[in-house]
Amino acid sequence: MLSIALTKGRLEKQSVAIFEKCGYGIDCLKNKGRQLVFKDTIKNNAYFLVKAMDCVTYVEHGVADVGIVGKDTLLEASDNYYEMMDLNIGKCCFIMASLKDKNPFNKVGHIKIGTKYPSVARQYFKEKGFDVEIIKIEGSVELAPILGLCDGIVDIMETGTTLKENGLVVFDTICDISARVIVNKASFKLKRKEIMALLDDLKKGIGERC
Amino acid sequence: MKQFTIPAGMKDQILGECEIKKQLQLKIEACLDKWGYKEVITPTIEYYKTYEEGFMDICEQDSYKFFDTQGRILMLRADMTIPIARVVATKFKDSSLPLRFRYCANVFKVHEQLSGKRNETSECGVELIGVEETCGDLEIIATALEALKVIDKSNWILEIGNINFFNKACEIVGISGKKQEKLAHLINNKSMKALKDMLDLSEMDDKRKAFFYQLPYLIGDANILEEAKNYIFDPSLNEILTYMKDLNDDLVQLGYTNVQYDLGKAGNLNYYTGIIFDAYVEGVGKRILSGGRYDSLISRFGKNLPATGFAIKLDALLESYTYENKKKGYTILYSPKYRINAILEAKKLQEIASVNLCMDESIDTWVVRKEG
Repeated sequence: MLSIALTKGRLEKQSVAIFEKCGYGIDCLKNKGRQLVFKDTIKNNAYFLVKAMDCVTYVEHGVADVGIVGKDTLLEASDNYYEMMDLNIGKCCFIMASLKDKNPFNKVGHIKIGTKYPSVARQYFKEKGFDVEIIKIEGSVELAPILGLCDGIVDIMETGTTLKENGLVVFDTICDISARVIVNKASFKLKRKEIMALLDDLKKGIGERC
Repeated sequence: MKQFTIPAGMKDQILGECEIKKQLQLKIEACLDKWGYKEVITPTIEYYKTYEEGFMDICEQDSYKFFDTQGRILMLRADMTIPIARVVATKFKDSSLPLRFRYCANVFKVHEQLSGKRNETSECGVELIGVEETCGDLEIIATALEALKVIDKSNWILEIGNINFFNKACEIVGISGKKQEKLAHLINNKSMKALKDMLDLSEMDDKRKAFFYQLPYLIGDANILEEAKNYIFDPSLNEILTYMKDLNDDLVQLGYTNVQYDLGKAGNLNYYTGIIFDAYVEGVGKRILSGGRYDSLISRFGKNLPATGFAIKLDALLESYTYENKKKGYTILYSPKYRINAILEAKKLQEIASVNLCMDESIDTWVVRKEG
């Protein structure tokens, strides 16, 4: 049996749709009440819905064999798992942005960057050869440069509307993000055939040729 | 009110845990002892620079560090292979080979807080020093497989890879340094999307790209060593496959099952030099054993010797281990007035079993009860 951790929220509907396309018995996931664990009615799978970062934790500990989670979360977490597939859903990207005339790269002196993703921001500026101070912000990151808390932000961008409406300009795209299938290393050794079969099904589900 | 807690990542082992752990440990040690390994105990504290020399790319924040009175950096040992390499190079200068050492020791690694991982773990392992590839590799794998017979589940696997398969391919293609490290990381983690992106950007021809892209999938029983031939682009890679195949033939001849292969193990690049292997058991989400050949490590401490070894992660293995309760026990309930008689009685019974003494005012003299 495979236990599969799905990320709640933004990715949930789309991942469930893929499983449905594969012909898996996941009706219960579409009409869920307060239930937390769901049994597949066709395949020998169990699903549970968790928050993105918890999905990584469950897979790392092997409590879940497989997880579906956004690359944005994976970049912030440790990497003790196999990242075996790109589901091509939940697409967006990481960007570095600030007010129009305030490109952090042009600033001389101490640079402050506001972000919900400190690891991504730190790594990005390190690669650029910049030593910056990272300030962790939990939400509405766009506010930070406007209020003068920081010189720029690193954040996720889907359409760019929020940034534009707040007068922020994208100075650089850091990397693309989409939902990934991650696999516990030990599970892959012991349940390889089942997991490979699942990956093949998912590939068909997203319309990629195997 | 004062509160006494333990530091992050630490654990008190209580309520019978020690008994179970000890039983498992003794079984493993008895096995390793049979293979001629002599126990060594090295200090819990080493100089930081010893590990820096050994690991080369040591991750500073992963270790517990402090200073000695002269301001030198000390460190809680992060493994036992490096201390033993140091011992071999500095204290066994002209000894006859091979050397066989075993240990059971606690090692320390700082993990991210609140991640549910232990920073202090027990490892039982061996180092086989001075035996070259073919014979040394077979012996060490056989020893590992024998030691793993302590597992009482049927679903477990020892998986063998060879770091040279990846390294040689990189050498031929001309990938080195940071780029090789990145590629190794992606292949190790089977990060298929990032691997594809990296290969798409490279200037290799399609056959070579296909080889590197396929590496993470070259995993399975011995047939995979045959299948891998479809992807190799140089005769030297075939030599490695032949070596693995021969090793597998030897293991089959010895009657070992529970072995599979993963050619997508790129491992730690500047530590291992040949086969690398690890083991997994149903119900445990992490490795229960890891090991490999490290022919260049001991020379960093001053003596050039081939070596190989493995460590069993006792705490991980424990999660799947069922305790065999063989112990009989007695309880003696006694009135305080008869405390001398109770102790004399206890000493007699201790020759056959363990005894709990229990003072009980409601008892006239003393009573012996058999437990279990």
